Order: sequence, then structure tokens, then C-alpha cells
Amino acid sequence: MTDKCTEVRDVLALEGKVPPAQNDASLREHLEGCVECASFLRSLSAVEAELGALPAADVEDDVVATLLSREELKGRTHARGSRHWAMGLAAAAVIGFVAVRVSVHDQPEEVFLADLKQPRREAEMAGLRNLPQESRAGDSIDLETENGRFRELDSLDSLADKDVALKFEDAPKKQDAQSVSPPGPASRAAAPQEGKETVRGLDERKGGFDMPVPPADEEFAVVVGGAVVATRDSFFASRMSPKLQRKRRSIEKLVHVDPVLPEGDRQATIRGTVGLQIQIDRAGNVIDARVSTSVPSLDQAAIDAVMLWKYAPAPGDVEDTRILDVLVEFDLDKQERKEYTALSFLEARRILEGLSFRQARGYWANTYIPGDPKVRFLAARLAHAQLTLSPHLLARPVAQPFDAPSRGALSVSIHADRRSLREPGRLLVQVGLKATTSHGRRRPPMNVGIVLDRDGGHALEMRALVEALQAMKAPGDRFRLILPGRGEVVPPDAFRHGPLTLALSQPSSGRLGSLVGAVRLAIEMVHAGDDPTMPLGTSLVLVATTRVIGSDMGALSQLAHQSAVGGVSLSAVGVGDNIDRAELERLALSGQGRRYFLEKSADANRIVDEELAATSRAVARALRLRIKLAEGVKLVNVLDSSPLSERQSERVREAEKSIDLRLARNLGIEADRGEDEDGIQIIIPSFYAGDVHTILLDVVAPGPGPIAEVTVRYKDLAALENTVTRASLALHGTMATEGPLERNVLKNYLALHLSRELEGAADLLDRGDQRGALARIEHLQSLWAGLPVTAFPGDREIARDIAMLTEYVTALKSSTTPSLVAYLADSLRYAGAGKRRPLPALS
Amino acid sequence: MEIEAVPELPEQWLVAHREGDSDAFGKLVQRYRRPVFGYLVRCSVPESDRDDLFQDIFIKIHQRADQYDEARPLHPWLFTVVANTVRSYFSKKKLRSFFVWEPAPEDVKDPAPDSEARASTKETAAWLERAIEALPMPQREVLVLATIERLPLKDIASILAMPVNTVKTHVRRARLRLVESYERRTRLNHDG
Repeated sequence: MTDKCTEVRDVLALEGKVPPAQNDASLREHLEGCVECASFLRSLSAVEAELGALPAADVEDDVVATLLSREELKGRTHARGSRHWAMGLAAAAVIGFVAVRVSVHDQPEEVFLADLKQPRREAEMAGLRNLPQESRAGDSIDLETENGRFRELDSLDSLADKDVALKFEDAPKKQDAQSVSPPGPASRAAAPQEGKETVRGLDERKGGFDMPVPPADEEFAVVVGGAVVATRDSFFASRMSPKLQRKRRSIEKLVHVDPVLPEGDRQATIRGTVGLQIQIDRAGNVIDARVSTSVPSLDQAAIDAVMLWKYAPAPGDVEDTRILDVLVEFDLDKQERKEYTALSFLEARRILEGLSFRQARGYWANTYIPGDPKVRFLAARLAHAQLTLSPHLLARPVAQPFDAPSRGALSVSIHADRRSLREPGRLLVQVGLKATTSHGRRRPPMNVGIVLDRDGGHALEMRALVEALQAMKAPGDRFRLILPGRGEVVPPDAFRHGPLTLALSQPSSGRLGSLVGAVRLAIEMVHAGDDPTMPLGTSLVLVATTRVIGSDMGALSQLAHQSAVGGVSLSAVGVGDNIDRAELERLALSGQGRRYFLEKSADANRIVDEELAATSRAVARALRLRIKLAEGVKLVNVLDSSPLSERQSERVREAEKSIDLRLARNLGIEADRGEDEDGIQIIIPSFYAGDVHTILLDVVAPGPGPIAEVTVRYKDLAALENTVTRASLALHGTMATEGPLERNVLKNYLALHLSRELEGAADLLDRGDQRGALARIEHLQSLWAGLPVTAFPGDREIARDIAMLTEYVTALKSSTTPSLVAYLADSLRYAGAGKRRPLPALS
Repeated sequence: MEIEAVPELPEQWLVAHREGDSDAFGKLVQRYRRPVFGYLVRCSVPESDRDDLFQDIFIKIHQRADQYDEARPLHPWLFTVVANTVRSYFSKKKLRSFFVWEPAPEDVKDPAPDSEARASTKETAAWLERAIEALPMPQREVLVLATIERLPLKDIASILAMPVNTVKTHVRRARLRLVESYERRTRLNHDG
């Protein structure tokens, strides 16, 4: 297809036919000469004809009858008279005043307007005037000065959803702070005052409205949809030099909570604006709220919302509390229209209603799975495809700011997503584990049973695996090869090139189900050769499979567990792409081993090296993590984990005890386990050098005070001793601004969410639902797009996520071939995993 | 006795309704029931929610009748309400499925088409319905308004609050996709 073909098809597709008044003779000429484009036109005409012939869908008559009998349709529409009132209020809602007993004496008003020189941007969309009022998100706010200088406030574009223009008619006289009286409530303020600066709504269809603008040394806020979208400072900040910006004082709103509409009124179309005068203490907390403009049914909801707002603490020289007039607008239509924003997402985790709580004790599933990240497998496939399209390369886990252990193998930290708590509140508590990066011990001699399940083919890869083992065999190592249906084909003393080649050249048994038998045999043999004085982990069974294990999985995982409890760990290697990764993960977890994916022969050396070195890479074993919530703190969930059943708990305890005893026996670390403890318990069999792991808890705390305490007991393999590390979290009642640590908690939460959603989108692609996958990514994109303006201004990690999501949206919209869609599914999974832990480089 | 003539144009119905004519709104509903319901169907509003949404739309039109400027055509005004209601319906639905961190029910349908569905794809209308359903939402909105409602691109831009050029892009891409699936289907029919 030539460029001309593309051009011609674009024209045809836009019009749905050959454009009638097309002067472009070259188009017709091309159509006569190009068979493909002529065929395209035929198809297009057929599609158009079928579009025109689509049967009209109609609603049932009784639905229309029900509609016409509804109460809402009784009588006339809204009275026009009341509309002006409502509009005045709605318009007033756009502007709230902040009167602060702060003055900036050296700040002439000219400063604000001096830089506002750019010409007004023409409204991008024509014909807006006749649209219903609820219809336009993303309109800009324009600022007009008397001498014709206009400036589009681009920083507000993303937040403002009202077409409002502010007009500064007169530069105000500079006033002394003492003479500034706080402006009254909005209702009073709504009348224009002689000689004072006014803000005029230029929206003509609303008839316009005037409001006084506070003098330069006062501050005001713009409130849209109940949210302060800009203070006077942020209005002008982008136009001011940094020096001037520093001089300005800001009353930045840090926490905004949308008003919750009274339940009973949700069905009705609610419009109304409540004016409130709020008092803010020095720390920025709202300590009092009084209704100045009342809408009786909404007053309480407005008060409830603003009492949760929080502003920036007062600057040092402000001694008093600050008074602020704000308006809370209730507009159900607008709320509905508001695309699912970052704000609502971030607020959702603070919702207290309708929660159910879980027992904050017993054993919970361990989510730290060491070994080969499953992305290895995907990485190989992605690299193999050699496409330039690679959004997944933008996926990075959140950088964790945890301190490295100063002493011992592990450090533990505990933080929340807020720094203070005044009243009952829901918060995320994050427990972070970080291992020391140093280990560097030599690998001890290993006792390994290798089981190759070759029925699914992949002879080359299997051979590569065996050859790698042979090549890395060190003196003292005892390796043996076991094949399903054939037993031990190469004993330890014959683990050499010749016997191995011979054994592998013989055909596989072809008998399904014999894998369990082979694994059992391997475990027995390795166990028999296990020297209990050797470090734990030196005896292991390595199972490589090329196929889905299926119904044998239950028996295998039981075997793996028993083996691990007996001191022989079991690791799994998936070969090729006809395997079930979740199965292998389960198997490795039961066997306290690791799992790997061997995509191509070249991976074999790395896998074997990693597996054999794992024993020496572990810095801590038998980690017992106990998280005890303080009294009154209730657990909503441990994210990504789940409570273990009685049987699972029993297994975990057995495994812990076996490690405990074994290490006591051969490393002299005293056995100290066997007792259940209070609180949430998570057992992690091994923790490896350099690794970081986080656990997020969703809890509700009754107020300020202690929140949780975490204790980690572990066997320190460097110091050869039992070690206990503790950390605790308490929140005080005085409001404190959230800092980087709190944002880190939130980012881990977001990363977890992003990871799940990306993987979910990949699943949808696998099921052929490209539309669903796209919708999901677009959804994430719109949420993430809101994060920089709410909680993460200027955050590079978030910006990177947004770039990645944008690439996915573009790719999903344009990818049509099955192979490309499959590639995208891999890419999404890779990116999903990449949000949780560092990814291997794509080779 | 003088009998007032019943206005014939939908625009006049809405004005008459505003002026207190109790029958006018019913006429308006009758006039627009098919286009509105058709829009819900083409935009893949699940069957279970269509009737409710249909009613919601007309209630909104009723409530906002005052905002309508009779000097301008009714059709784009009315479809602005329709399109916005459908959009907010979908965004709320997304919101719900999002908070529970589970795929929305329609996401988990069996990917393998059953034999019945396979048979019906052979029918002309069915393949087209499916192809429209497979379009991304903005393309679908634009396509339905442009080809089924026959609205000018400028009006569609107003209705959907997008620049005209974006509308053009969507309509072009939508048609390209439909042609593509038409050709794929034709090939399949030829092959077997």
C-alpha cells in the first residue's frame, strides 16, 4: 500500500463515500488505477449500506408508559425564576474568598497582572453556547483585565470543569492589613461594590454576576465543584518569577474531601451551594465551620466535608487562626460527569462506611517469593519478538527508601500513608523488609536430585540444563538424574558427559503421571544422602517440566512440602511455553525452593548457577514476621495476601520448625520456635541478599496513638544467631503534613494496583477481549493522569507510569494482528511484574 | 371555540412543553424513543440497564428543558444529554468494578463464541453490530451519531465536547475498522 493509498482511504473513510464535490481528480484517478483501493471502496460502500439498513432498536411501550407516568414529569419544568437564584449560587461556587489576616506589604497588585500578556486563546470548541450546562469538562478559565490583557490559566485546565471567565475590572488600591476586613459570606459578597475590584462571570447565558475581589494582600481561592482548585497564589504562580513566588504566602489546601450527598436525595437531581465560614488553626486544621448560606438539606453534609479539609500550616509570623469563606457546591450531575478521578480513587481508601473487618491474627500467606522472577520467561519472549514497541520498558518498581540494615541481616520499618490522625480514620500501614546486600560465602557441596519430565519435547533445552549442571559440578557435589518411568538413570558417581548423553538419547517413557513417582524417588534418594550437618538448602530436588502438571499437582505439592520439612527443598524449572506458571510457583512454595523459566538453552547456565548459589545467597532464614495491631485498631485486609486455612497454617508451622531444628543442629543457632504468637503472622522461609519486600495493611484506627508493632525474628546466617528486629508506628493527633515516607506508602499501594490491573488487562487480551483490555488501560490512564495534580506533583515515577499507559493505549488501539496482541499481553504482564520488583534486563 | 394547533416540529414540542403543554413532552418522547434507545443499544449499554437509562435521559431532558435555546436545532441538544448520560453511566460502572478490584462482569464472558453466536455472525446485521461493539467508545459514539443519526461533524463535536478534528479522526478510524472486519468476514465466508 502506497502513501497515496493511505491518503485516499482516509478521505473515503472520513466521508463514507467518494466525496461528491471532490475537485481532487487524482483521487478518482487513483481509484481507477488501484485495484486494492477500488476494492476498499466497494467494501466501504457495502458497510455504509449495511449501516443504513441496521434495524432500528426500540424500547418497549410499557417503558415509555412508565416514564410518562413518573412523578418527576408531573407539572412543568423548573421555574425560570428560581433558576437565576440557582445560577447565581452555582456561579458563586466558582469563587470563594480567603481572607487571611496576613498581609504582604511589599507586594503591589501590578505583580499579578504584569505578566499576563499573552493573547486569549480562542475557545477551541465552537457552538458551545447552546449546550446544556452540564456538558463540558476541561473548559478553560480565562482571565481578563481591564486593559484587555487576557491570560488562559492553563494550570487550571485539568481541574476546572466550568466555563467561567474572571474579569478584573480595576487594579485595587493597596490596603493596609489592619483595614482589611474579612469579606462576608458569599451571599453578601455577591453584590458588586462600588470602586472595588470585582470578578465577573462572563457567561452571558447566565446573565453574568459580579463579585468583589479581595485586595491584593488578601488571598482568595477558586472553588470548583466543591474543590479548591486554585488559591490566588496558584492562579498567578506560573506567571511570577521564583523570587516573587517566594514572597507570596499561600493557603494551600492539602486535603480535600468531597461532600457526601445525603442518601435519600441521591435519586433527585441535586443542585445547591452551601456557603460556609471556616476557621483554620495554625496547623491547617479546620476547627470550626458555620453555615453562612444555607441549603437546609445539604448543610450538614457540607459541614461534614469541610471539617475534613486540611490546609497548609500557617507561616511563622501568623499567630492567629485564619478565617476562610468557602462554598461547597452540590451538583449530582457534575459529580456523575466527573470522570473517575484520582481524587476519588485516593479518597476511596479512606472510606469508613460499609467495611468488614478481619481477624488480625493467625497465619497469613507469604507474598515474598524468591528466585527467578516470572518475567524472565516473558523477557525472553519479548526480546525474541524484536519489536520497537516496548511500553513495558517504562515499568519500574517504586524506589523504596528503607534504610539498609546497620546491624544484622535485615532491617524492618513500618510507616503509614498519613502522619497524624485526629479521629477515627482508615489508613494504609506498610511493613518494609530490607536485606543486607553482602553475603559472599562460598557454596557448600550440594546433594541434588534432578528430575526431567521430557514428555512435552524441548530436548535441546533439557540437554542444556543437564550440561549446565555437569559443567558447574564442583568437588563434593552429588548430582543424580532421574527420569519419569525409568528411575535413576545416572547415579552421582556417573554424572559425566558420556552417561548423561546416553541417558538423554533414549526415548522418554511417554507415560503420563509417572512424574510423581520420579519426584518421590528423587526425594527419597536425596534424603538418604543428606548430611544433616550441612547447611540447610544443600540438599535439593530440581524438577524440570515441559508441560502442565494438572491433576498430579496435589500429590506433587504434598510431596514437595514433606520433602522441605524433612530438609530437602524442591525447586521447579518450567521449560518452553506449554507450562502453567502458577503451578510451578505453588510447587516451589510448597518445596521452599525457587522456580525458574527456561525459554531457551542459553538460560540454562544462569538458572543452574542461581539455584546452586541460592543457599549461599540467603541471608536470613525462618523469618517470622508478626504484626500486632494496637488496641482498637481494626484490620480491613492485608493487601495481596490472605489468611491461611488451618491445614495451610499447620504446614507453615511445620516448615518453620524444621528449619529451626536443622539450623540448631548444624549451625548452632538455638531452636526457638514452635509457639504461635499474637497478631498477624507471616512465615518467610528464606530471605535473600539485596532483596526488599513490602507488606501493606489496610486498617482503621480509632484516633491518635499507637497503631501497630512489627517484630521480625529470623535466623541470621551471617552472624549465626537468632535475631529479633522491631519497629512500631504511632500517630499523633496534631496534624502533620504528609512527607515522602507517606507518599511512598501510597505509591506502593498504587503500584500494587497498577500491577494487578496491567495483569488483568493481559488476561483480557488472552481471552480475546481487546476492547476490555483497552478500557481497563484507559481507565488507569485517566486515574494516573490525575495523580500529579492531587498527590504527586512533579513525581517522575508517576510520570513514567503515565507515559507507559499512554503507549499501551495507542498500541491497543492500533494492534489488530493476533501475534501483536499476544505480544502486548506479554508486555502488559512484564510491566505488571515490573511494578512489583526490579526486572531482569531484556536480552 | 378555538383549538390551538399542535406544533409539528420537535423543537416546538419542547417549547410548548416549557410553556405548560402537558401533551408536548409525551410527543417528544414518542418522536425520540427510537433514536435514543438505538443509541443505548449501539453504545453497548447492557440490556438490563437500558430501560432505566432511557428513562433517566428523558427525565433529564424534562428537567433541563429551560436550558434549551429554541433558536437552535433540538437534535444536537438532545443528543448531548443522551451522550453525557451514557458516558457517566459507563464511568460509574467502571468505578464500581474498580473498587472491588475484580473484572466487571462483562469482561469475563467466555471468549469462545458458542455455536449459536457463530451462526448468527453470518447474518448481516449481527456482524455489523458486533463490529460496532468492538470499536473503542469514542469511535463508537462518533460513528453512531454520524452514520445512524446523520448528525453533522460540527454538531457531533459540540455534543461530545471534542474538537472537530478529533471527531474526524474517530469517524475515519471507525470506518476503517468496519471495512477491515467486513473484508475479514468476506474472506472467511469465501474460505469456508
